[in-house]
Amino acid sequence: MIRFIVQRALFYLLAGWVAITANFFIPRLMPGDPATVMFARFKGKLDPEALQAMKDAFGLSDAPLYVQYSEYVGALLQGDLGTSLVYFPVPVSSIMMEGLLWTTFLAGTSLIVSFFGGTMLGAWLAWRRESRIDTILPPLLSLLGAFPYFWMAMLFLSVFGFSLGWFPTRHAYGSGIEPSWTLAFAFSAIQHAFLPALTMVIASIGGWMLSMRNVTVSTLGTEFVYYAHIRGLSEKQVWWRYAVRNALIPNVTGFGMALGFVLSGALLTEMVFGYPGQGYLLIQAVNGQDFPLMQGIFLSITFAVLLANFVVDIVSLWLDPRMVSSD
Amino acid sequence: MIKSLFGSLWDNPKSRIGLWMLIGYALFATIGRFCVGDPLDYIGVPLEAPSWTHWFGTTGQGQSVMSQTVYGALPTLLVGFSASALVIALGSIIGGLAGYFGGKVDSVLSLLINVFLLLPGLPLMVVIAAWLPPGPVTLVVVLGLTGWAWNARVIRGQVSTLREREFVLAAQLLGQSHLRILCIEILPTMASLLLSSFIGATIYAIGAQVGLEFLGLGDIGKVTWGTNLYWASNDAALLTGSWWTFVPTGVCIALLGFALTLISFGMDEITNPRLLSTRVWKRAVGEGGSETYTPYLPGESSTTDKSPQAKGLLTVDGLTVSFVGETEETVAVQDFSFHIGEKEIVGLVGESGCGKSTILQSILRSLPPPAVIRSGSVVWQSTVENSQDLLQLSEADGRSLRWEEIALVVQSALTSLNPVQTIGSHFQDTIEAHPQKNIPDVDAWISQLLGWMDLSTDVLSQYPHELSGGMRQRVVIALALLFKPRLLLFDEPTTALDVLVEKDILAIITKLQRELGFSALFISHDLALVRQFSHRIIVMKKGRLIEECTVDKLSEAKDPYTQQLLRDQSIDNLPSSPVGTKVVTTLSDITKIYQSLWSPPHLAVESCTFSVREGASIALVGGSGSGKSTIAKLLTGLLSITKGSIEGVRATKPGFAMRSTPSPIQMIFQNPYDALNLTQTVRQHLYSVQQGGASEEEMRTILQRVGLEPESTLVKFPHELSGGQRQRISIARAVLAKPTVLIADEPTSMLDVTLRADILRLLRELQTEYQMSLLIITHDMTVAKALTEEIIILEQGRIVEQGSTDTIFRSPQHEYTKRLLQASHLEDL
Repeated sequence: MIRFIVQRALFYLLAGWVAITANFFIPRLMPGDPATVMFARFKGKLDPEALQAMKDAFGLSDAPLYVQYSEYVGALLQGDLGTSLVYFPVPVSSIMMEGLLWTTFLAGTSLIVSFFGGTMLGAWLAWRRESRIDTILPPLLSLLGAFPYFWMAMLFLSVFGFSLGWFPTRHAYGSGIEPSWTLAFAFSAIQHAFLPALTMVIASIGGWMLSMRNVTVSTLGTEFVYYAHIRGLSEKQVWWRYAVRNALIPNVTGFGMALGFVLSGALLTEMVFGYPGQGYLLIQAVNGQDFPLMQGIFLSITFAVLLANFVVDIVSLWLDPRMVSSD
Repeated sequence: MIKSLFGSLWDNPKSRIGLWMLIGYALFATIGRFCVGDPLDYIGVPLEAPSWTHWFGTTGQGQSVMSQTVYGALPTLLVGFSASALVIALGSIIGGLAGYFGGKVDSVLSLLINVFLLLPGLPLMVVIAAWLPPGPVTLVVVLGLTGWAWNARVIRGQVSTLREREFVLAAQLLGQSHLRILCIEILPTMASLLLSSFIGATIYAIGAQVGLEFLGLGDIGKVTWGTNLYWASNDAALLTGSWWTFVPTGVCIALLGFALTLISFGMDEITNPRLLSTRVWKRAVGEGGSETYTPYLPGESSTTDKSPQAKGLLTVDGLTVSFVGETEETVAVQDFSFHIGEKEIVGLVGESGCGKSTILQSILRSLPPPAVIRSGSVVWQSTVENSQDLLQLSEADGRSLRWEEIALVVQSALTSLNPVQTIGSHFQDTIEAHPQKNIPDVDAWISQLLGWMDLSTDVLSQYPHELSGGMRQRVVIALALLFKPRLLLFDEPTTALDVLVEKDILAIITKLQRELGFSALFISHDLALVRQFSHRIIVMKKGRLIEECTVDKLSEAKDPYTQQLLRDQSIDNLPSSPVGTKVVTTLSDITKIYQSLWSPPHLAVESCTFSVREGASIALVGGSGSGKSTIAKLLTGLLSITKGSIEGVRATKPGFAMRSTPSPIQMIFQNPYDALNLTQTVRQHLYSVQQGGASEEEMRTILQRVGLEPESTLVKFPHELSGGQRQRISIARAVLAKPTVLIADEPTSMLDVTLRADILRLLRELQTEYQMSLLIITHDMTVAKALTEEIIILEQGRIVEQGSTDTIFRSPQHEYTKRLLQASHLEDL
């Protein structure tokens, strides 16, 4: 078991290293030397210090590549992600701090709600397979899931936010409230998070539901379910302890895999709602061509996904005894 | 294959709707633009609501929403499908190479795949796309680069199982290049997987593309669905409640995604028939049926008037079971009657698919769809006076009877035990399910049960995968004995086991039967095995009972099928082929160690030395894990030797892209259902044997020689042939390559016993005609005796005994050889 955990941890470290390295090389390897072009475009608009920061970030220095690389990695290890151009001279890391918190709150909550909700719905549908609800719900939810996340966000915002005025239309908390551990603030935060969270849940719940339903139905055809049934176990026992319990394993693994994808959708939703998370920062970075900020967001989201996957691994280790002895 | 895939997609109602919708989109995107105005023309005031003049209203710039929606379709679809094609191409190349070559190539590529899988898509796309000039090519490249990993992973998984398949190994032995094998043998077999990956990738590509453009990373001067949404959000459409600016585009995107999802639903149903509804069956059984239980449903022709009578503990009378299909009903078991007496062991023998499992499931009242019981009774004599028809019992009564009175020993213990539960909790579950059964001291009883099975109580805290196959099978028997049932049903309980383990388990069963005095129904395809301990034998064929007699009367059986079964238990020694003096190939001191990055090295073959003379017939005999198949693969070059050398005739290695000559060492594989490529005709199989293609005449001659009619056989696909015919094609293919040494790996173990003698005789004849040396790999001493003049006995990777067949049969020296001889039931015949 220790061996497994160490192996996975090493793998995630490697993945993290690949992400860091990609981050370093992407601006340096792009065709047509875009960094120089960019540099020329900003010349005269930014003050000299900002230009220097840009130069450093994009490898326009004359030092050999490996020196630049080691400096880059060294700076990263100290939490230095460079300097933002839009918010010059604020370092990227401090800009992202707040965004990361809000994204974790919003995307984390809606992900967990939609995963658990979808999984339970899926298990229930498999139980009622071939019933009327089972023929209606899967296509309906996949139709809902086929709308782009941000489109769903635009629709909800326009209907429930602007037209009906039921929910606040921007930001993570009311303008009159200072962030603090008070009931009023918590209420305001929940009020602001509700609509974006709802759109994410609606857009993603169908996927979890469908995969859980199908895996459970396949599990029902396995020999160990038949054998349990033959031994006289009641339908309910067979259902929970044999079918659903085993169907959970691939679903949890799938959760880790899909995390990066779902988070991407969450970022776009944040943009529409002006929610001050990573997604909102990302659109500002894109509009302002703030490359250090973009790269910082890429790295932070990557590390969040890696961390979440490590947690998923530990959960699957607990769910599936076969993983302990296999590689 | 691909044609039939589209055919079945078209037949599936869900995917047909999806396909129609796709066709609609294609028309909408191509012809639609001629029906609307220029999307960039200013036709009215900004943000005008839908009206009769502007059906879909205007954008924030005063342009027509309808024109923009229609014009946006084509570029979006083109980018979506191109990106998807790129994703599949990258995924197939990287996943295919990783899966096919395995080893270090796989370790590196898999690591790459898994890392890319974890990088979050959108931020990575943003980081890359921001550097490139905006436009469709950038989008395709970015989507391709960030989305391939998922498909590569799926394809790698599939290819890595396919490359172990026998038809791939056969192609390698025939000297085909790796590239050709990957493209012609493997990828077409994966057509349905590739198609569903393509659908999935398209859904991803369109969603991600729209997202990127929405962010402003597309060419915002062009009209696409993504830029439509970009402008809608930037033109303050939300603030003014101008829903019409983004709703039409969103609905188009969603319906396209939905159409693709419907097609993949259809794909799932086609590849995984269990998801398909059991509609027809439901209609037949009505409300009373569940997936694990089929109610008694007399058909119109049934005669159920006669009241059932008990002739023994269990009496099956006139049982008829059918499988209901969409158009017709197939009879699986026809008017079947037999009984099992108190403390009697009855052996039920028949080939696979003859309906013996259906009988067993009827007794257990657990026939799965689409089976329906049409007539008959299964009478259980609970006491001397009382008897009841099991088929008429309520589900609750039936459930308690099961396991308390009638228990089952399953065939495959590995797949029958819940992988996430310890052995102990399987016992616990079963006890809890029968509260009325009171076992005074549960722990003592379970440890006694395990003791009978030669198991320690340590297994209770272990998981199924931690036990060996033999131990698992013992656990399953112990579980069956939990409530001391009066009748035990054995469903081929030792088929999946090694010959020697099989022997041990059968000994335990017979001993316990004598001590506990239960009755038993023993189902098997192996008459020689069953007759050793049964009191009475029932032979069935195609759903009908054809022979019933006590074991001592078996030799007087009248039915020709039974006679054939009996005859085929022993094989007459075949005429030997002339053996030359020249040594063809010599293995000296070869050792094979499997090494892997993650698990400890495994020694499969250790210091084996033997040589093969011209025209010789040699048997490599051993149980599972003895290394006999590994030696065959080392000889053919499919595996590389860790230590030692092979001299003389050697296998040729296939090149990466260049075809080489067929290897002089050819092999006939164990599983005739796996050794042929389902996507190719017999002609394609034979044609590709020789460099430059085999001639039509050669193909016809060899087919005739293996006993098949050339004209009709050449055009057939493997699924149109029976198991025996397929094995003959395999043999024809190997012989056509004109090998010096022919290896046959358990060539008859997957075939019905009645075909065994014919196939072995064919091998011997071909060996003599084509002057080949023959190396037979088997666990069965009977086969070795009939066909070879030299035997090599292997145990755990080492040669423990080696000598002429006569000597080994007359005076076996090693303990293992003696046990193998015993296990081959030769002493009973």
